[in-house]
Amino acid sequence: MNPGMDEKNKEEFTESVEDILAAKEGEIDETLDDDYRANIDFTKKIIDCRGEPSVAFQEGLKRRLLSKLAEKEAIEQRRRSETTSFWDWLRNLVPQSPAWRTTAVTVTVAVVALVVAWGSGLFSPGEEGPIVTGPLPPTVSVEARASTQETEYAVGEEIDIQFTFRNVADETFTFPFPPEIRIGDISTEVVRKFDVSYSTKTLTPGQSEDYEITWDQKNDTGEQVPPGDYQVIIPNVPLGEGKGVVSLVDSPILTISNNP
Amino acid sequence: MQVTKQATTKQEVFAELYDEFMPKVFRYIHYKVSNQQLTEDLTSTVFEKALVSFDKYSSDKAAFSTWIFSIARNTLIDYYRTKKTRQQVPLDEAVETPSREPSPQEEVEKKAEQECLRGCLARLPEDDQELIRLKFAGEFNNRQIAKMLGLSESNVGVRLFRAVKKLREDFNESWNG
Repeated sequence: MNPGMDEKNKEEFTESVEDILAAKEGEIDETLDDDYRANIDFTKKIIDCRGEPSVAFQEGLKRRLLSKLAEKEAIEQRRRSETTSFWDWLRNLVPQSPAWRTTAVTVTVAVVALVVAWGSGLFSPGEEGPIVTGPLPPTVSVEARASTQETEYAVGEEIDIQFTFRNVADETFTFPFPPEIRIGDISTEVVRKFDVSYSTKTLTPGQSEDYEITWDQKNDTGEQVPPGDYQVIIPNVPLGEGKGVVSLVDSPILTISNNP
Repeated sequence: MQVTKQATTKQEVFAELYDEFMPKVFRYIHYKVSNQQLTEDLTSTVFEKALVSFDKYSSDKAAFSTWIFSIARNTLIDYYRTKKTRQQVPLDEAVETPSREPSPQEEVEKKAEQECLRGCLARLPEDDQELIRLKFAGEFNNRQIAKMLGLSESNVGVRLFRAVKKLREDFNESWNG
């Protein structure tokens, strides 16, 4: 076979294969050699040899995948609408701009001073002071408690953190489990987020569930965190309109030091 | 692949992509493992992985076809790595168990011919096998294959022609000889 013919063969061959795959009947160029024709004929054998999925498999897998996708989206939707953690909630009480912060702090100090003075009977001896009200924290329906064996750890030492989730309400709740768990430094700056799963847990009234994680003292970028005090954070997980939240009500301060 | 305008929700988009690419991924895997049940399991794994990472997939970075076939290739690699071998499973284990019901002579012969061809395909160098799988199962054009395998487009055409010729000659020798 001459080289020019070889090149022409290969170009025509690709086009013919694509025609066959697209189930189009192309005309075979009579000037092309036997190798080309034999390859084209053989292509049909290769295609005949392909495995085909059964309709039952095709439909069954599709149903299963779409149902998983719907479930995943429902959980993500719930997460998006979840209220911020207690600390975020507290932080949001104070407006963010410096001018507003100054004003808010001044007003708060003045109100506190007024209340103290009122309560001490400075303005009206014998009378009760005014009742100060504000936004109420959400009702805790599922209490989460975190605990550790120690409170002080050496740098690099693995820290096992045990959690107990207890339904303290009168009705059954289902919530994402485990919920998002974070480790923050003492100013609640998050240093590490633990992967969340997409499963859920149902707790009947009074029922509890344990869970454990091990923190290797690394931050989200895989670096050792500096010595200092750290705390466990679980953002509140809403359980539905007016049904309260899953909230972390007790957790230890974890001290990481060079000389524990 | 252009997702139709009607597909608006994530489920609809995923369903359309699934309908188009699942049969191709299935055929791609079947060329390699030659066993219906195993092909179903591995195809399921591919689409489960795709589902988990679907949020991270960006059509700006790669076509869905390229993305799903890279998952399929890695799934096959993982499967054979786990099995501690990259070789095709022995043919007598791999091919489906023939039906116990009596078959017409032509059908029996066709099955035997296909088994022979799969055996020859498994004997080709892995690069040639991959080229044939991407062309005949994935139905990619040469430009797409070139991009996936890091080859030039003309090189894909040349190598495909040679791979089919090699396969044909080996088959003719095994089947007729």
